[in-house]
Parts: sequence; structure tokens; C-alpha cells
Amino acid sequence: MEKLIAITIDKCTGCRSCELACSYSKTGLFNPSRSRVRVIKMEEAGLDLPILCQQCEDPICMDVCPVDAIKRKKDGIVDIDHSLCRGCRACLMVCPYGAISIDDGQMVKCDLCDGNPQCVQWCVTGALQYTKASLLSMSRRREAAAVLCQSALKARG
Amino acid sequence: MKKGREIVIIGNGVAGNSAAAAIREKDKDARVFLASASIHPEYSACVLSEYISGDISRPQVFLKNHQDYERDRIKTVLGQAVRKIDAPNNKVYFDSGALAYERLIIATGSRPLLPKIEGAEKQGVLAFKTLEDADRIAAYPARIAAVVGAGPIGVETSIALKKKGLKVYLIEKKPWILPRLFDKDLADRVEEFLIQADIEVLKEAEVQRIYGKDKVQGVRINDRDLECHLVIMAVGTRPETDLARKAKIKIGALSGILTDDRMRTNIEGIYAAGDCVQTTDPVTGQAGLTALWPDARRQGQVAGYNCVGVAKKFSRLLNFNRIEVFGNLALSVGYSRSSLNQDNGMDIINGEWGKGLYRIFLAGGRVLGGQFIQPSNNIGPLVNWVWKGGSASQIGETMGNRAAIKLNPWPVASRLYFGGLSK
Repeated sequence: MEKLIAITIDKCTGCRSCELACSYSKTGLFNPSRSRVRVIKMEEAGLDLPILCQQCEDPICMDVCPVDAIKRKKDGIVDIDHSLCRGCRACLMVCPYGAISIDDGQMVKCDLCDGNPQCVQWCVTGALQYTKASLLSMSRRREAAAVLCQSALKARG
Repeated sequence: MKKGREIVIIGNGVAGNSAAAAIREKDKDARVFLASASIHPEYSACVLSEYISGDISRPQVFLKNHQDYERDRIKTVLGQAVRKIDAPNNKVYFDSGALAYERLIIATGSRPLLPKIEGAEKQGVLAFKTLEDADRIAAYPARIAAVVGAGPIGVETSIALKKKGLKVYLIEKKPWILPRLFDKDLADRVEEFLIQADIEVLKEAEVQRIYGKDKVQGVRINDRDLECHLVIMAVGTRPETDLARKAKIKIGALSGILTDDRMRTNIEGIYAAGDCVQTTDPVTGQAGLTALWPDARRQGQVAGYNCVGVAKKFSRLLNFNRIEVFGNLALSVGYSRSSLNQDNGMDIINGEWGKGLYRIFLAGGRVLGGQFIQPSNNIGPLVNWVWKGGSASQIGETMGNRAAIKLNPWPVASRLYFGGLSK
């Protein structure tokens, strides 16, 4: 897996530009309910979370597909072949992220727009970033280190 | 040129093919041979009932064509049954010729059980397992059909025949249908869907005999004669282990080939995967047979990887089974009271969800399985916890919080872990 979409929750304002960009690029309509990425509002936590397919390393959707319609392409993208899909919804039910949905009778999910994700293009705050997995894990580590340092410093007084 | 190692796979089902794909992914040089008695390229056994009903055409059941094997450089030996495995000499024998192997994967699948019933040899009594069976059933002229056994295959066949316009009797020995998948009350909901579609369900019913001259004219059930022209035997399957048994490969108590978590048999270099094997669940400690597509697929993959030195493990049977009854979904995953045959020490969560029902089974704080009628589209986290043997508190949090189930648990969990939410 070369690159993936990284989500930085703190930067998401819940503007839903990603939903509009996705639905427009995939269906030609500005209709968030047909978007492959959905922003979930968590009222109590005061957070907005963009949710989309994680292109799992070991995808369970691929296992349950009875017609082998879900395949991993060379670039690591887990893709649904619509000429094979029978619309049985098994993949949709097993996905832990709820990242697969039905659109126009077909199972759909994020396919990273074949390397040029429109949601990332239109995310003005940088909450969504299309980045190399190795860079991402490094930035996560830095973030974690910062948080851990903070509490350690606090403990010292 | 370096000569790759020789790997022979017996069986052209999902386990055999996923093994071949896994081998090819990791080892470009291996010489892979895939042998099967069937002449067809890989097809999906899951959609055969949709082929019978006419929902899909015959070409649509195939997952591969012959060129696909060539492209992946998998040599096929189709239409020739393997007659013998010579384990000491690392060879498999066909009627004519033999193949030497360094690694062998047995993925011979299962065969349908045919109960000894008087008249079972008559024309019109058919089993349902392979594409050939489906062809026979689809082509058989009949107005009324009796399906014996209301397991998933029986139920799906009944639906397919009903869609084809036949009158259908579905006959089950036990007091409720789908006995291994659902508890009685949930199974009764599925039965309602069948009855609404005008399928006649007969429970606690046993076929005494099948009558008719040469062709089936009816069945006698609980001292009552039912006219029918087609009898489908769907009372269960048995692992196909004849080859393995003769090669002195250990067979388990459930009559499947005994394998460890890397799909190895007791003989070095011989692996097995799919419907022909039995594995032991690491959480419940119970032996189980593979009977379902996703499990067979994953076992095949694990066997393939291990053949080429990638130490991957098979975690546990997912037992993921979905049945669609005229637009109504019923889903069962993992283990339940009925499949474990135990009541004690099991906690049960019952709930309703819109039009749907669910029941979750827990033991010792771990999620064992769940049953769902008209499930929400978002039970993914639960299915995954069953698979990974997750704990009850996780489920409690999620099932209690409708919003949470729609969330990506990954960033939420990582933020919580790093204290991001509490600042």
C-alpha cells in the first residue's frame, strides 16, 4: 500500500465539502447521501469525523464476497468490480467502518479515485490528506510522543 | 533459470483457488498444479441457487475462465480425478500419469449426505452441491418439489424453486428451520418470510418413503402422502476425505482432515483447507468443520502462504451465513447455543432494531456469535469482534450507542488512547 487517506480529526470542521466533492465526482450530483465518504457528527464529544474505506490490509469484505468481486488492485486499492457484484450486501454488513454503501443498486466504496481522491482535493482544512503510509505512521508517532511528553512534563510539575 | 518448487493443489473450489492465488502472490517461481475431477473453471457455489431460479445466467456463476489460470501461470489438470496420494514418495496419481510435489494442498471440499430412504434411487431425487447438480435441477421438469432438510442449502433451494414457479414443500426433521443457524424464535421469523412467499414449511416431519414408478410421484411424510415430482436432498454435507484417509492423514472426530492453525496436516508438506478440514477454535476449544465460503477462502489463503514459507495463521471459523428470503435478510455469525449444544455459562443479549431482531451470545466476557433478522446495515463491528473474540464491554458500548456503530472506531480509539478527547 503506497498512499492512503489520513484523517486528522482536530482539523475537521464538519463542512462536508468532501461529501459534495465525492458525490459529484462519482454520480454527477451534489448529493451527500450518495457520497463514499460520510462525515459523522458526534454531538457529545463535539467532533466531526469523516469516515471512509481504510483499504484494510486484510479486508474481511473480500472474504465474504461470494463472487470474488472485491479485489485488491496492484496499487493496493481494494476495489469492487461492478460487472461481477450481485448486490448481496454481505460486504456492507461485515465492514467494521460501515464504509461500503448501496448506491443505485450497486455496492460502492471509496476507491481513492484511482490515485487522485477528490475529497482530499476539496478538503480546505487539511483534515483529509492523501499521504504515504510510512509518512503517516511517523507523523502519528510524533503526535503520540507530543501527547506522552505533555503528561510526563505535567507530572514533573 | 531457477526451477521453482512444485506445489500440487487438489480441488478447484474457493479454497484451492485462494491457495493458488496466495502462492503466486509470494512466490513467482513456484510451479503450481491445480487438479480437479470437475472440468469447469472455478465457479461460485454460493450463487448456484440464483442460477436455478433464473436470476443469473449460467456464465455468471463462473469466477474464472481458462485464460485466468494461464495468466497466473497455474497449470490445471481438469477433468481428471486424483486417485491416490503417495505421501512417502511425494506423488499424486491420476488414472493415467502422476505428478510429483514438494508441497500438497488438499482442498477436496465436501459431498452431500444422502439419507437411506426407500425410493431414493428414483428419477427426480437430486442432491445439490455442484454446478452439474444445479444444471440437473434447473432442467428437471416438475410442477411440485419437496426439499428435504431446511438448512441454508435447503432454504435457498426452496426459494430458487419457488421463484421458478414451482409449488414447494420444505421438510425439516427438527422443530424449527435453520436449526444450526438460529434459535427457534428467530428461525420462526425466517419461516414467516417463507410462508408469506407461499412455501409450505413442514417441521418435525420425516420422509418415510419416496414413491412413484421410475420417476418420483410423491413422498410419504408423517403418514401423509404429498404429490411432488422433484425431491431435493439437502440434509447436510460430509467432508470429502477419501484420498486423505487412504494416505494415512489423520482425520478428526467430525470426520474432517485434522489441521493446525497453519492448515498443516500430520504429514509434513501436506496441507488441507476448505470444507474437507476440521479446525479447533482457540476461544471455545471446540472442533468445527468449515462449511462456508469466507472460511474456506481464508483457510486456502493460509495454506497457500504457509506452503511458500509465509507463516500466516488461521484464527477461527467466522461461520458467517446470510440468507435472503425474498428481500428479507437473516444473518448468523459465529457460534450460538444450538451450534455449541450448550446453555450453561452463556450470556445472551436480546434486542430489537427497527423491524429487526438480534441476539448475541457471550461466554466468559467474550463474544461468541450473533443472530440477526433484518439486520441493520452496520453490524460490521460486531462481526469483526466475533471473529477476533472481542469482549463484551466493547459490544455493550457499541450496541448501546447507535451513533458509535456508524463511526470509524479506529481514530476514535486512537484519540482516546492518546488522551485527545479529554484535553
